[in-house]
Amino acid sequence: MTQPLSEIETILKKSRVIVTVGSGGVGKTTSSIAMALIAARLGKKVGLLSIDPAKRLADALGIKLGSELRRVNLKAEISGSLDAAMLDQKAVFDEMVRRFAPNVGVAEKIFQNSIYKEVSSNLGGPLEYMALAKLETMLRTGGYDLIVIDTPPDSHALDFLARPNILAGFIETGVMSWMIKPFHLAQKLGVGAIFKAGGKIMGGISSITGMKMLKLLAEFLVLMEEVIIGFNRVGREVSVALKSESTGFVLVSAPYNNAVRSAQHLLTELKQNNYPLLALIMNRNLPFDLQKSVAHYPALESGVDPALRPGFDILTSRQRYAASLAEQLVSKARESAGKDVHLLLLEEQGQMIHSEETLWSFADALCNARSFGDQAKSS
Amino acid sequence: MLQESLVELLSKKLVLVTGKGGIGKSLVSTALALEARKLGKKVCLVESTAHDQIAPLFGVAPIGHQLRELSPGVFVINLNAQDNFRDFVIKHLGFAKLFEKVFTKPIVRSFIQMLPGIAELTLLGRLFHFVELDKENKFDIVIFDGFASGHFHSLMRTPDAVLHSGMSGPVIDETQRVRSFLSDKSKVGVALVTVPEELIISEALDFSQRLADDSPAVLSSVIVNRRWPDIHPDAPPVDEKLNVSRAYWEQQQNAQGKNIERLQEGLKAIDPKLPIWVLEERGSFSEPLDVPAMQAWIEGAKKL
Repeated sequence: MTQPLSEIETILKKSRVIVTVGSGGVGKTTSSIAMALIAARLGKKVGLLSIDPAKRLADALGIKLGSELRRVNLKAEISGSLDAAMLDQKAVFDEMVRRFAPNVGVAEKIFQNSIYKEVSSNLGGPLEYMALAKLETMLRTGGYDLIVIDTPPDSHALDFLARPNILAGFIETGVMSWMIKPFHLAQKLGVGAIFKAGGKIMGGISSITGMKMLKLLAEFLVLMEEVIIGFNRVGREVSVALKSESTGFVLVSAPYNNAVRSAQHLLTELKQNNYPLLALIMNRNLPFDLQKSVAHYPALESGVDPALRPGFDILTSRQRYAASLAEQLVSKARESAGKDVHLLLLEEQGQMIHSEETLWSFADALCNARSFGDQAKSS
Repeated sequence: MLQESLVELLSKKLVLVTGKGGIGKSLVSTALALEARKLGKKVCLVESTAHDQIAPLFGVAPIGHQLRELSPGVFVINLNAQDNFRDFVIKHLGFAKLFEKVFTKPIVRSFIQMLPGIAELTLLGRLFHFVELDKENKFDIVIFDGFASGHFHSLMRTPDAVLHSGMSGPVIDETQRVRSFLSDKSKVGVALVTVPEELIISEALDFSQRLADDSPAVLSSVIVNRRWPDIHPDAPPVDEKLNVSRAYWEQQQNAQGKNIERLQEGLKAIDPKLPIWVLEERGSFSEPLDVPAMQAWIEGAKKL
């Protein structure tokens, strides 16, 4: 094909790693998948990493949620390829333990530890660590032309970005050695030694949580030592990779108050971390022909039957509000990422995305997205 | 006037509001708080987010972990994990000295961050505090603008996870107390906010089932937000420039109707008595919020 590349294709063509950020409910995972598909269509070997995605989207790609990278069967005319990992918390946690535990015996003990059982399946938490580790594997051994990373929604996205540093801080303040050494001893000598080594502090914690908890925790930490050190190394490597020039960020938002507010915070965070923003995708706009139609309403208002007004009032109000939110966000994006940042406007999708075909139609919509400036000109 | 059942929701001591992101959860929580105030109650409106969502609705700068009266009789706070932990240890467990000695040390703090479930547990502890233990403020009702469904479900699972974790001592006693409070239907209710879109209704049904299966706090209302108004069947044709707009409205209306039916069917199988409320689509809300308009919005809720 000799057609000129769309804006999104231009971005994807020159990128090595794309990180998608945004709040929940704006189509972030769908946009990530669409970008991966578009890049595969451009002939790239693409890896896609999605953290806790909706099962429906994994289904649409024809792969299972889990910890594995899986080859996606794309339609025949696609010259590139797509491997995707749709991460599920427990599966990934288990895999990381297997990978970093010094031997099978320790891994088995960890799996049996009651704290581990709670952490890995019930309570929300360190999925981000695991995602980083997965990413490291993909960077190291995958041979991908492009990796697309779909971060968790909302404030969790910030955690994901900050994680390598939090983890480094955790190790550097000496918590690990301070906690683990006495516990190593404790295992040999019995629990009493914890209190000699940890002094009042451990006594304090135990008065709140009870002794049994401390024993379990001790065992857990001792067992997890290698695993945590492994995470830490991975965290640093990924942090370095993310800071390299070939990594770019794509912010997905929608014309809702809280989505835009959270996008503004993300812009600030990105800037603080020197993460380059390549594009802002403003998803879920009213269809463009509808925007045009409803723009006529105020002038015609007096001639409209009162029974019909409420719907037109809603549309007018929604459209005005959406336009003002988009403007706010765009000016903030330009201010923090410069004039060259791509600003793409997408219409809301009438259909539910549940199959490869519907994913492709979203991908095409992304390729045909209006850029913010054009839209301003046409209205 | 409010119809019977929505008053019933506001007669609880603690209303936990949840729902998928981006469907108007914070607006509904805030409107409920303003309506509760109109009913003469002293209200505590709580959120727990990285960045304040509620304070901006009142046109003020973020307030963070500090109780502030943002509208007469409506107090707002954004709880964060660090401060919750401090308040939990000092105010609930009564370990002020211990806290000063032990938990202020940076290494212990970073260790605490790593403890699974601690943020969730102390958050529940703080909500319990505002309802039952806060002798200074004596709130009549606490409304929690809660997490999105998945995270909310793990929040509700936390007490049981802690009780089965092998801990003992004061934490367990406190968790026991919080759990039995949460499971008191007369005091605590979950309000699930949803919108009549295919996918979101499916998630709402799935979530309602999970909550029914294993949450101590029970679902007491489902609120369907963003319902488009009816089109009068005899409405005359419009100027052709508006045809696209009218067609969109009509199509939204129809699709929403089908999705609401599916919600009703699905919920019947989970809890046939569960009230379902429908809130009108308003297009947008101005900030700072127009208090009477918000109250009128809630009062206009129609029961299915």
